[in-house]
Amino acid sequence: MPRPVKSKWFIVALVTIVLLVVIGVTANKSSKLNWLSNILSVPLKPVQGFLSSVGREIEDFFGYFQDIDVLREENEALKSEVEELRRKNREFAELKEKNDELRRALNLKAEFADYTIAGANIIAVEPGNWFSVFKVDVGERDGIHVDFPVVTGSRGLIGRVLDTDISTSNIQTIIDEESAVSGWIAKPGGGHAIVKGDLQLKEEGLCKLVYIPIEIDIEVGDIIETSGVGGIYPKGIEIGTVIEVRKTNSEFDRYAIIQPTADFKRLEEVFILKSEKYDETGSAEQ
Amino acid sequence: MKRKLVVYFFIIFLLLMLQTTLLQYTRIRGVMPNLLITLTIVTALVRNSTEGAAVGFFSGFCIDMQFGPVLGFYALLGMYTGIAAGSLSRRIYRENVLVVVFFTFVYSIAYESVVFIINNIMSGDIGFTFAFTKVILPEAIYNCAVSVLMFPLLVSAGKWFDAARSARKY
Repeated sequence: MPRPVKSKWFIVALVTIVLLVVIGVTANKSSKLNWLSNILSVPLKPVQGFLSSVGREIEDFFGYFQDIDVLREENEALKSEVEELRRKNREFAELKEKNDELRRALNLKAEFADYTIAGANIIAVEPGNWFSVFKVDVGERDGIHVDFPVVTGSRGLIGRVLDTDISTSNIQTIIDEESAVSGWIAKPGGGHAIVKGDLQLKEEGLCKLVYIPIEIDIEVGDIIETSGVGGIYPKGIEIGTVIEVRKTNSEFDRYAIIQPTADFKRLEEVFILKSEKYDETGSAEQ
Repeated sequence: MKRKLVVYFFIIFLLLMLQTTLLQYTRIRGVMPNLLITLTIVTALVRNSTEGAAVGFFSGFCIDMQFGPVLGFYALLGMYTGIAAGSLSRRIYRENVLVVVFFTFVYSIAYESVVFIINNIMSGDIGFTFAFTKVILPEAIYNCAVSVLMFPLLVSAGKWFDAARSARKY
C-alpha cells in the first residue's frame, strides 16, 4: 500500500517541523508557549507530592534499622564534639558582639535583608540520568521567579530556580552539569573562583571549583561561599568545603573538589530566597 | 482505537509518575532505568513503528512539559526512537523476549548517546567515555531488565487491541 506509507512519512515530517518550531520558540523563556507545561504540572502536582512522600516514608522505615549502629557511634563522637563546641561558642559570642558593633559602625546590611524566605517540598525529580534538577511544590502563584536562590534549612546553597509554572517550579542544583556559580574562597586573601557541577562527581553529591587564582594557596578545609558576583546569589551563602585539591597538567592548572554544605542525597524541604527587589521590577514591567 | 488510546495514556502516566518519584530509590550506582524510553522501544518492537512513534512522542512531550528547558526536544527524540525501533526490526520475529531485550539495549544506547551529545555539543568538555561506561551502558542494561517485565504486558495488550479490531470487522 503506497498511499498510507507516503502519508505516514508526511505526518512524521510535519510533526518534526512543528516540533522544531516549538523548540525554537520555547528556547526563549518569556515565550507564551511555555505556559503549555502547566497543563501537566498542575494536575500532576498532588500525585507526585503523594508518591514522593510515600517513597520517603518507606526509605525512613528501612533506614531506621540500618541507622542504629551508625547512630551509636555518632552519638559518642558528637558528645565530645559538643564539649569542644561549647568552649568555642563562648569565644564566638564575644567575637560576634564585636562584629555587630563594627557592622553597625560601617552601616552594613544584615545578611539576606532584601529577601523573604519561602519553604518548599521536593515532589519530583527529573527522569533522566544526566541532570540534577528537581521539582518543588511552589510556583508563580507563590511569588517564585526564575533565578531565585535556593538554600537548605542551615543556609547551605542548593541552587537556583530554573523555570516556574503556576504551582510548581524546577530547581537546578549546583551539582548539575550545567550549573556554574561564582564562588568566593573565604579566607584571608581569598579570591574568586567558579563552582561547577560535574557529571563524574554528581553521583557522589560533589562539585568542582575551577579557575582558582594562581596566587591563592587553596587547602583542604577551605570554605567556599557565594561571591555575590553575577546577580543571582547574594554574597555570603555557604556553598561547601574543599575536600581535595587536584593538579592537572601544570601547577597553574588545578581544581578543587567541593563537598557541598547541602546534602543532595537527603533533600526534602528547601527554602527559596524571594527577592523583594525582583517583585518591584517585575510589576514595573507589566 | 479508543481502547488503545486509553491504555497507552494510562501506562504513560503511570510510568511518568513512577519515574519522577519512587524510581529514585531504585538507583544503582547513581543510575536508574528510563521507563518511558523502554516503553517506547518495546511498544515499537512488539506492535509497530506507528504505535512506537506515538508512544515515544507523547511520553517525550510529557517529559518536556514537566522538566524540559524547551518544549519538543524529548518528544522529537522519542518519536524517532519509536520509528527506528519499529522499522529496523521489522523483519525479525518480534514475539521473542530475547529479540526485545537485545533491541532495547541497542536503542537505549543510541537514545542516551544522542541526548548526551546534543546536550554537550556546546561545551568543549567531552567526557563521552565516562558518560558511556558510567551512565549510558548501565542504564541500557537496566532498561533491558525492565523490558523483560514490559514485554508480556504489551504482548497481551496488543492481542486485546487486535481482538477488538477484528471483532468490529466481522
